[in-house]
Amino acid sequence: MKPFALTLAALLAATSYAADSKFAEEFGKRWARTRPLTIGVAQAMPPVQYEFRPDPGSMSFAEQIAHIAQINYAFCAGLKDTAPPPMPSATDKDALIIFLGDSFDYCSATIAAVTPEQMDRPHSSPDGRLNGRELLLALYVHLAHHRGQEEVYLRIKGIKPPQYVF
Amino acid sequence: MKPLIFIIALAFAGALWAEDNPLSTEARTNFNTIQDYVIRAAEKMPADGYAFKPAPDIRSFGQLIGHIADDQYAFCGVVKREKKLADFERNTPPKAEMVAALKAAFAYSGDAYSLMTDAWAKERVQFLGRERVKLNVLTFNTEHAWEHYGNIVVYLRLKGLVPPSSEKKD
Repeated sequence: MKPFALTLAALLAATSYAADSKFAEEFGKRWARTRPLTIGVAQAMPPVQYEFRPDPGSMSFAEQIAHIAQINYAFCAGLKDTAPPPMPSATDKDALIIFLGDSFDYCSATIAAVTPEQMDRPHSSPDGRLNGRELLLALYVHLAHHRGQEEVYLRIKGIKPPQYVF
Repeated sequence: MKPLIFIIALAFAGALWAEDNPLSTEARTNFNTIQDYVIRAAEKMPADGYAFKPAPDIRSFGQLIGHIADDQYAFCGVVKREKKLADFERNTPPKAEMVAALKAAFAYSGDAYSLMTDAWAKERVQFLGRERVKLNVLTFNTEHAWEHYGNIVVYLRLKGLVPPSSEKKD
């Protein structure tokens, strides 16, 4: 490779690295901030209401929690191009909250270790083939979509959800 | 500037643009998805369902749609450095007007996503008490709409309607 092309390639690689590292770092901070909110929503529902579903076609509150945890694992394992770790078949409140918290921690560790190459490359995910940045966005909005449903479940039960944080 | 340096600079700038703008493209794609779902949900709920609320102390369906519309102006006005406020949540119009207002609000915010380049997205603005890059504000706008779309899904289900995001599966 000629010196000019080599220099250009090196500059581009450095720029991409900087952009992707910053993206992952920023995303990691936001992911950490959304953990207590999501856990707080799960904690706010009494154990006896975990099987509550507002209509027959909807997931129960417990199923919403398990679904978020499973999909967190699936997205973040996808980012590493590995299979998700074995998951518990949790059904009661305490076990589900541990499952949920563990899925956040798994993703936090994954995001902290993500490489620029992983951010740029397509991966398998619950939403199909996505590059690292798209995958993290999909992870984030999937969580919001289901937490938004849980919040209404809480309201139906007369419970005020935790204050939203950003 | 010597021709070779100029060419290098031009090539570098062009390549950088291509390298940098995926962030904007990806943010726009995700926004387009949720915009589509919210508009279709607003259209799907019958007019008499706009006053429906599943619990006494939460927003009605119409207020939820109005809230999402208002925040397109509040959030995306920040990144466009404009102060443009709306109040459709409090002054909820009838369905037809609300749907039109929602579409206009999404057109306003969609403009911000469409005009975005990654360099522009990295500019810093004051938002919710902190300095943040514009990309984060727009991502928050997208995520905020997804969270409220999650609320909307339950309202629709309680009315016996299939949410737009589940239409293919059901």
